[in-house]
Amino acid sequence: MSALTTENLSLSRGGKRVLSDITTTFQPGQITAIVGPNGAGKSSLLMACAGLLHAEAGRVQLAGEPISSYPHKERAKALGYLPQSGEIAWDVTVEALVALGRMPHGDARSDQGKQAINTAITALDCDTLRHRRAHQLSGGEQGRVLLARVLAGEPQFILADEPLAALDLSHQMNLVAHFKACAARGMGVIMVLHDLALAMNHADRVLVLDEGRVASDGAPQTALSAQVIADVWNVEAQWTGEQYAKALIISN
Amino acid sequence: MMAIAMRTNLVLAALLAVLVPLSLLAGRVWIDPFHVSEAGTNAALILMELRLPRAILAVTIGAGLGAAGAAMQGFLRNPLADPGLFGIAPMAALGAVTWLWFGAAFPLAFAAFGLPLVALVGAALGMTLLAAIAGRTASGVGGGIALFTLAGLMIASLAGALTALAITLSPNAFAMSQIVLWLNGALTDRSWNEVWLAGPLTLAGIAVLAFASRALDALTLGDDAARSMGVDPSRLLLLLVIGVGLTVGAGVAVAGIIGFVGLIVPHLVRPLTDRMPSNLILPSALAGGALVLVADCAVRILPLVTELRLGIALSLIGAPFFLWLLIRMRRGQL
Repeated sequence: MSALTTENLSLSRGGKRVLSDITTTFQPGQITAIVGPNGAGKSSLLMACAGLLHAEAGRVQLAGEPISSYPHKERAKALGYLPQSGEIAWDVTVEALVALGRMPHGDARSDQGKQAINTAITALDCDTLRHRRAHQLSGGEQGRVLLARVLAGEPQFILADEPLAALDLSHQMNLVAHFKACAARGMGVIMVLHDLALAMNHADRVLVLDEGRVASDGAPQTALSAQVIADVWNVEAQWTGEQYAKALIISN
Repeated sequence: MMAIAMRTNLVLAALLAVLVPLSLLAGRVWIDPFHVSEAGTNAALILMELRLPRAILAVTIGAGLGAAGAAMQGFLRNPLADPGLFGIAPMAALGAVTWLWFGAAFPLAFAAFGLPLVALVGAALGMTLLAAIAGRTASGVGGGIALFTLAGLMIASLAGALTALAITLSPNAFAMSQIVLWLNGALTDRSWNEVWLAGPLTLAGIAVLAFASRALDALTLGDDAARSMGVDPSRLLLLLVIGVGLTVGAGVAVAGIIGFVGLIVPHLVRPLTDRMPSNLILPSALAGGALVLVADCAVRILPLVTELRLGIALSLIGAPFFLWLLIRMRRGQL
């Protein structure tokens, strides 16, 4: 597995500079959380890494090659992107929806494709949902099914934009466990998160963005220190509790 | 998944196989199938030179409109999309009316394919305009359903206004009535010439739309997800412009505007499929063919002084159907 890197990446959207000079490396087998205030450029960075936004300056590389040079399908095989919207336009079955994950491979009906689809469905506890229709599922079930779609493509990296935002606590923990399992299998997981406690307790590494720039980058304990939170969010706060079970206490 | 699609296609194909021969018998003059040979050359002539080409044309045009409607609904992720409502058919008609105006200036050799050609160009131009206005956004294809819908309605409105202007300024009353009659859509007095013209173009268009349909499946999850799955937005747009241009343009060229088929048919067929856009194109083509064939038979046998125009008949069914869809949508049943 190869690293996904950005090198002096800058880009604008709607005439506004949203990312400035971002240089970072995402490693396979690791969960990286991208956090930051609203408008910090988190989703833009994720989309640029997925090859969906083009760099104004600098570049995004996978295995040392610019992703803009990858054919569409090859890029799609390597990078599984899970958008924030969670849109499912038509009331298709769960099985058909997950099978879309094999589209870049073009083998949803082959033995190999079917096996990948079944593995993804089982990994996300969707076996009982297999023949249900997407619009009949709860928000948590839809979240799992959409992630199963990405997993079915067996990508090297999963890039998920706020995958936990609409979920209750139990479904959040459930999905986090699945992301950890993916990382344990060698996939790189890059998640945009708003909940700093989730990032602190479950990410291997945290990248903090502020106004399109990297404010801090590293292990959660250092990247999300009280000082960084004060500088970036302008909030006085302290972490309490044990490692992997920390809570953020706001003091102002 | 495949089993459902296959079964639906087989049932619809079987329905068509029954409807086509039946339609040959129906009309002002009913033909007794068991005594065609005794009825003499007139019955044979009616069958072979009038009803058979008309039936094939009805199936062809309906198939093209059904497939175009299914593809447009998939592309826009909007169950209300329709080539007529979104300006594609009106643009094709505007092209054709322009030919009726200026066609005489061209040598006679161009006359046979001039009108169909400008109708095709009009349809493709309509789809291109729609794509250019609403499809050109930073995030890729689509550009938002509201924008696309409004752009489509405005293109339809503009094409309709320009067509009305052309009619108002027409050189004589006969030309005016010819244009109006033709615009209302009909399959009366069509011959094998129209079949040979519309058939290959429509088939090619349906093939292009079927080829693009896997990318439409990816759009089910939104523009960004589709692009992340390897869908090339500009290629998909081009395929849709060509596919919708060919199917709708060919239909308008030989039969005028026949509305609402592209809207109604995918709705009727969708519950019989797994609801994936790719599995809706072929069944919509088959069911569209069946719908136009039945509607054409109905206008033929209705006991009216003059034959009801097919386009008007389908609008009389289609507009209330559209309102019913809107009510269902409002109730969250769609």
